[in-house]
Amino acid sequence: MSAPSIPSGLVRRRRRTKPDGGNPPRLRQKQRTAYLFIAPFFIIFTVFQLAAMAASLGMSLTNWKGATGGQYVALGNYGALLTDPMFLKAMWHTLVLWLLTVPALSFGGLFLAHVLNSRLVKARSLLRTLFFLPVLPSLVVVGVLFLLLLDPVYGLPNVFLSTLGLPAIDLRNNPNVVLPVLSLVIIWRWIGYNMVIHLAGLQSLPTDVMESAKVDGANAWQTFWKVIVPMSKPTLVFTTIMSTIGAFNLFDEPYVLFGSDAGPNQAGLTLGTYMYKQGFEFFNLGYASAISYTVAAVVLVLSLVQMRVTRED
Amino acid sequence: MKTDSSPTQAAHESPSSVEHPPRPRVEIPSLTRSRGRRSPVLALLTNGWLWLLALLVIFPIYWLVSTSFLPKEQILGAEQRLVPNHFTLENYRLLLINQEFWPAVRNSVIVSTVVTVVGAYFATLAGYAFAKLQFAGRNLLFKVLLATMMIPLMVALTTNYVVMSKLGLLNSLWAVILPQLTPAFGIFWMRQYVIGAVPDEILEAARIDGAGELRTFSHIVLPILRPGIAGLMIWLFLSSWTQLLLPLTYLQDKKTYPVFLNALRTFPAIPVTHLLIAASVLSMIPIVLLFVFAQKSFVEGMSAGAVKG
Repeated sequence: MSAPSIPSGLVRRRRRTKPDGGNPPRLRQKQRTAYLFIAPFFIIFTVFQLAAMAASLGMSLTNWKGATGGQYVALGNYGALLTDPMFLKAMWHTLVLWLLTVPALSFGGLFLAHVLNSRLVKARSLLRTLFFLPVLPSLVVVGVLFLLLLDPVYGLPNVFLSTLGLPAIDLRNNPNVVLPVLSLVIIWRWIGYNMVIHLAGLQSLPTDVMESAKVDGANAWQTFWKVIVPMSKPTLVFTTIMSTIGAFNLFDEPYVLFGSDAGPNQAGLTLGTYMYKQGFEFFNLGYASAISYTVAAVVLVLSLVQMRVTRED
Repeated sequence: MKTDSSPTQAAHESPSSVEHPPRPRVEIPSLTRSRGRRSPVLALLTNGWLWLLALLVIFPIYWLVSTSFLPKEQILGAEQRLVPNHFTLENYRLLLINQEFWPAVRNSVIVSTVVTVVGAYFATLAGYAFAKLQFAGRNLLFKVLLATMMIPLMVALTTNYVVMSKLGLLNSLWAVILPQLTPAFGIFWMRQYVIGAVPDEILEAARIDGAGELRTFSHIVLPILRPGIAGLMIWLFLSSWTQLLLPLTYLQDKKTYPVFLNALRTFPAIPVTHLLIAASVLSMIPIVLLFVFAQKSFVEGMSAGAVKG
């Protein structure tokens, strides 16, 4: 890859010339080029994403099973979902995970970014890199990692506890800790990513606001909640919505940690794993599509609510 | 992202450089600096808990890597310690002679390379068009794209399964490649980057100079966008290299690396934890290398959308 440079003299000279005022043939040619530019993306996007999304909306109205096809059942699948105990369980788990992870990710990420922006902190860029590292390993690797760490006998917490002469705890087969463990893994994995986004946001803020907060004698905690948080609203909305989408799509983490059976007593069953089970283990494609669209609708509503709540008055 | 730097400056940078166009760095006064004399103690405390937290965060990764060098018998044994007292490469040797290892690597390299290169090219072309060219339906199409970002990928999973089987693509790598080629997020990303990095004047100048749109794009715009494209490519590589759901669903007897890993994990008869751990460590190497070499543009590009959007 060579770096063709722009002759800067040329740029400056040309800028003085009168700009081309969009004559019709030129404009039409420009439009053609624009379509040419977006065509490769949109053709594949339409066939493999947009069409599939539309088709699965249709499919969710049928009792499609396997590759054999199905009959129109109107809103039957959606009705069935409302009384499907497994679906309700998955929905409940997902909501709990959402509540446990999203505030930690957005506000925690912002707080970390705020602190890592401080001049008091040494080796800031090394620290930022360390916090960002957990995003890099694939989720299967993350699964392996935590299976190793949480092993009922040899996992580190228990090795530690037994050294202290305390009884071992089973973090993997105890239904009560499945959701907290999942949340911890999600926060561990994504907080650095949110931190990086917030760092960029913080660095685009004006300094005088921070200065005035200091003059007022606001302490660190107040500065964070009264100055940083309100000023970071746009970035907070972005990270919150992205984490919401992530939480409701959650498949990999519970799947690699607890398998498609979702752990002890199905305590790790989420909407993502349940949809996968229905669609690709039982091949109830119509029903699985209905699950997906219900999830999409919930995400959309939550996103709109979040945008509403945080909108400036 | 805010940038008021001259684009020519970025274009003049050496080819290997992944620097982003310079932008004003606003240092935010620290929350603790104002605390006068107590500052040293506070500094110590702040640094202390940050490092403690950072070590906790990277500990699982350290644990995985150090375990991979333990002898097979000790991997799930009470002999584990913080600093391993044995060192062996035997797990890696066994992994490399596993007959499923190399085909899985090959499949993953093909999928990730095609997705990264072609996907970045498509997204750059389209992102540029959305940022700088006028065409009918531009806003509508962009809104459709943004809306699809909110809809889970899984929605397309079920119907694509039928589409793939009708097209005879099931069990072909294309079934894994095609749906990943067009992430809406990629266009969003490139559009934001173009808006920040490419001033209108330079495009006007090229047009007046008589350069066609394609020529302007490849000779003037592409060089300016190089850091953004690098960031996008890392993101595409990261997501395609670690993609589990698509290959798990659409491939039957072929395996990509994550599927291979997953199979080692769920291996029914004999536990192969030693292989699994070694394979996990190896899977991180390409990503870590890429990240180390292009960290700046990755971080830069990733946050471009968030701040402006």
